[in-house]
Amino acid sequence: MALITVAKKELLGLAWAELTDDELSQKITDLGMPVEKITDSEISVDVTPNRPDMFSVEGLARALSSFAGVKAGLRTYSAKDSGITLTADKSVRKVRPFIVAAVAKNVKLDEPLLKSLVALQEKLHDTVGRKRRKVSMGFTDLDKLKPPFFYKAVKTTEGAFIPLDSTELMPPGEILSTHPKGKEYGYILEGHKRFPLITDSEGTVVAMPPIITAESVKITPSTKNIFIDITGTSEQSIHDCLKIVCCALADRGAEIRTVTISRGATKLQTPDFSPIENSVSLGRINKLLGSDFDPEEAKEYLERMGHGVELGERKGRLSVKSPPYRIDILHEVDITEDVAIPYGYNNFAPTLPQFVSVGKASPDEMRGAVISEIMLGLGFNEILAPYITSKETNFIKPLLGEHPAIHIKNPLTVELTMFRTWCIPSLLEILARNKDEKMPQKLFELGHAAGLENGKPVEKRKLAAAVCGPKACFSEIRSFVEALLLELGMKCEFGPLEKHPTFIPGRAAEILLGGKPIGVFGEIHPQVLNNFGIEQPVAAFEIELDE
Amino acid sequence: MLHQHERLALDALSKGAKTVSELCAATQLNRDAATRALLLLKEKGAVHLAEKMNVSYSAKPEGVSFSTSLLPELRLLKKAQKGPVDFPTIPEEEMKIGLPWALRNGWVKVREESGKKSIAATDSGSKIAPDSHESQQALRRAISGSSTPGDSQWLEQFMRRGLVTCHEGSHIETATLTDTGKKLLKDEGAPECGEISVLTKDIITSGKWNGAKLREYDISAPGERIFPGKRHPLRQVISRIRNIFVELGFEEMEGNMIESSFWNFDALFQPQDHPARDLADTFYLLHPDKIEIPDEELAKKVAKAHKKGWKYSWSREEAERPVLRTHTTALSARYVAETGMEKRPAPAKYFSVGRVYRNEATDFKHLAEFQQVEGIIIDQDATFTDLLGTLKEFYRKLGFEKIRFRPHYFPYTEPSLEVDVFYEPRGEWMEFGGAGIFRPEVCLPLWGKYPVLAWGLSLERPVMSMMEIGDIRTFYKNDLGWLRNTPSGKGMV
Repeated sequence: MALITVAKKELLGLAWAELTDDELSQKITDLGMPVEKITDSEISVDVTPNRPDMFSVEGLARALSSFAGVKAGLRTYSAKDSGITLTADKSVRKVRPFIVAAVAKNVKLDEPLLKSLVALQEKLHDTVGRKRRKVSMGFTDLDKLKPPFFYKAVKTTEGAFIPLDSTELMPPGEILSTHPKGKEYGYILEGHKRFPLITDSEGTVVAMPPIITAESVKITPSTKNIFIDITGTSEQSIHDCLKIVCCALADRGAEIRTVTISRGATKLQTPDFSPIENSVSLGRINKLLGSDFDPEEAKEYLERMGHGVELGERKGRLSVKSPPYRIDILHEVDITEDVAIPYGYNNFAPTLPQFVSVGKASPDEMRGAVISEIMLGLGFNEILAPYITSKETNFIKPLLGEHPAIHIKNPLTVELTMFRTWCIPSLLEILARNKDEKMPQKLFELGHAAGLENGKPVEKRKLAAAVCGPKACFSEIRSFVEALLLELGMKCEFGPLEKHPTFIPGRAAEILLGGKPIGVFGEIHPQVLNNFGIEQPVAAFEIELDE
Repeated sequence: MLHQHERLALDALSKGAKTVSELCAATQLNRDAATRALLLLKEKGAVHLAEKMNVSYSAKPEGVSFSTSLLPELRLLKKAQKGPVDFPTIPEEEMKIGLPWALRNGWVKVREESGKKSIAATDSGSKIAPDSHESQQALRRAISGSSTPGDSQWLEQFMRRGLVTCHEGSHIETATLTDTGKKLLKDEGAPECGEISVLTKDIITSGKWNGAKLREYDISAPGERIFPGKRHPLRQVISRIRNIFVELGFEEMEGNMIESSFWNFDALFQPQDHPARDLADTFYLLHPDKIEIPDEELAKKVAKAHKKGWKYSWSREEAERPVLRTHTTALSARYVAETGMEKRPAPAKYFSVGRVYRNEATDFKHLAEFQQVEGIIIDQDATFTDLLGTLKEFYRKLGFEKIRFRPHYFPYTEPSLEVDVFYEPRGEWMEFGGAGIFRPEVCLPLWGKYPVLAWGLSLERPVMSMMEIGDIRTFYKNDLGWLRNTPSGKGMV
């Protein structure tokens, strides 16, 4: 999500709409964008990532004026050839292979437009551009430049220029180590021996994508003609971003001109403003929505989402033209949603599926419910513990040797580094936290633990319980284990538990089902109690439920 | 009329003043009973209790971590003292916790220049030495149990922030009989002959009780509190939700939390460079090395959908990276695929309530591990209105009559929506979760048919509001005070 904050007056002005705060807020919500805040002068909208065309006040206004019915239907954009060529050298292939460009003429670059343009650039960088790695763009003053342009990769010590917001001449390598933007985005160029550079016919540096443009050619409020360059690693995404930026500028009265991109033998004019065309079936749309819209209704709704609609020659088909910036439209289902949104989700009559099905709880959960009931009858309180824990809690504090476990590759804190291999440490942590609460304390948990067996992850359902208080001891927990097994109708044997330092030697047992160990119980060793910070005796058991 | 325990205490004290421990030893009463008897006697003016108030503090985990790492507001101030700090460079903890407190303490101010926000130290903030500031020292002293009276201003703030807990209690040092007590003891005298206090088998069967006086008890004396075995409050809500889905004809899904990226992301048409797949949002696992895609044909179809829809070359290696599932929709994807492989019948309705994981810093609103309520309807004739109707029916059964839908966006559904539920007791709309129809890019590779209706609803957030809990971590902290004092069924509508 991208939080876009724009001036209300500007938005309504560009949309040619007169709306109260409530109406404005409702319209934008109905469009599918949550309104975060609305103040006397501003509105903040959480624009969803599928609609980068709405990341600017111009784009929001466009969607709003269509939706409100002020200017419904398809908007078309056109661009004449600027006659300018940009030649991409093959040296950029490894470092940043793709580039597109455009020219915006006769721009009135007043304060609001400059602000809006920079904000749009930033949002596109952060979202579609994946923090400039995939897409980055630069705006420069065309009148300070001498086309044609060249895009090539140069050695880090060559092509020194004065970067934006600086006064010193620096080679690209130095910009990366000293300029704030170089430090912030330098990782994108890391490991490359040559850095990408855009220059004009006289060798003046325009920009060093994706880091920074040159100070000498920066745009100012007096700039009339803007040169827009967009570079990146995804050809599709840079075309998309160029269309979005150019349409926003066109909405502000700029005349967009294309630039010829020459790459080897191929020549390409950008931006491409041709609309996105889809032929859709109204029958399928109605079937999916559970609706009964006639072609005229569907046309009206689609026009309110900015599409142009012609009722097809073939019956039941609509030919839909979408504006170039609607990069989210992939096929019919995206058109279907744009019929449903203006109709209003809350206006559909809810129905239930017609087929018959039989409800069924999972056998594990049903068994869990029986076990819970037994534990509640024995007077235990249920707890819910997190499954992600630390080595400290899972192994070290219980004096257990480390064994294969599911460890997290990218832990955020030292407390959350692995999936627990057993449940008793969780209970001990909770008892320690509750040492000031009234004793005795009897806790149980129905939960999961996981381990690695033959290199494969194995998740296990477990029941664990603990009693804590002056009288907690081996015989007490043994009585509880026996009562539980009796209630479950399980015939188990108890065997001595060897080499389990969590328990007091000689006060712990293994639970065996047909000779196979399925659990343990016993009195917790005082050293373990000290490690967890527990001040009263504790006895506990843990049983695998999958057996 | 004195309670039996009061009598015992009076008797014992008539032989001299005693501490509670001494009284326990003399009367064989446990500490609670002896204390209760003394408090009752005090009310009657029979004993004088020398009491001592004691206040102590202990740190909660966050407090302990801040005592070593420096309070976030001081960390922030330390940076700001060296020059303005840009918003995007501030770590989350310093932004969320540090900034509000640093502002409140008047140490820093927020500056805004051409839309860019930064933080600068104020004049008073510049004079502070962050490492040795009194607030930091107060926190350290609270943890070592050596708080000084001067710390109270800071400790109050720390208690509000949940960094430290205050333990306040009075403690009886000695109990002495008063003149009233002596008189009471004299008046009561020895128990009347033939008066029965405790019934025994012998008294009942022999008929000795007949004609004897059964001693009256002081029914206003407080009883000893007992604690029943109880289910966890969140589990009660989960049980209710599971029952509703079963009642509505849904079958419960079962599956793993340790999952491949393939099921968690790729099968759901999430591109491999999607921000949700960042290390900062998802827990990736060190072991196992990879979780293989079960079906070659399936892998090819998914790869093709990505290539066509997102225009990039799909990497199998990336798809086989193991993760802790970030949503139970991973489970739904498996069930849809198994339907496609004809291991399960269609049409069908499935649900699950299960744990999901996000690699996020936890705070009062965020958990790294929480529950998701998931559901899918696999049916070629399913419609958008069936989705709306099923959700409406689910919430109606849960007790919410008023719900509304808002258009929204998820990468794997279209149309997509969010559900808001009107919660009457608070008179406000609450956001409950997302839903939609799986995109053809999801359905067709997995099932070969279309459509599938799906939803993933949040659990802890709405239950928090319904139970009036301010901190989401409460559910997994298991404070016995909270567990014992929360009435069963609270949080149910």
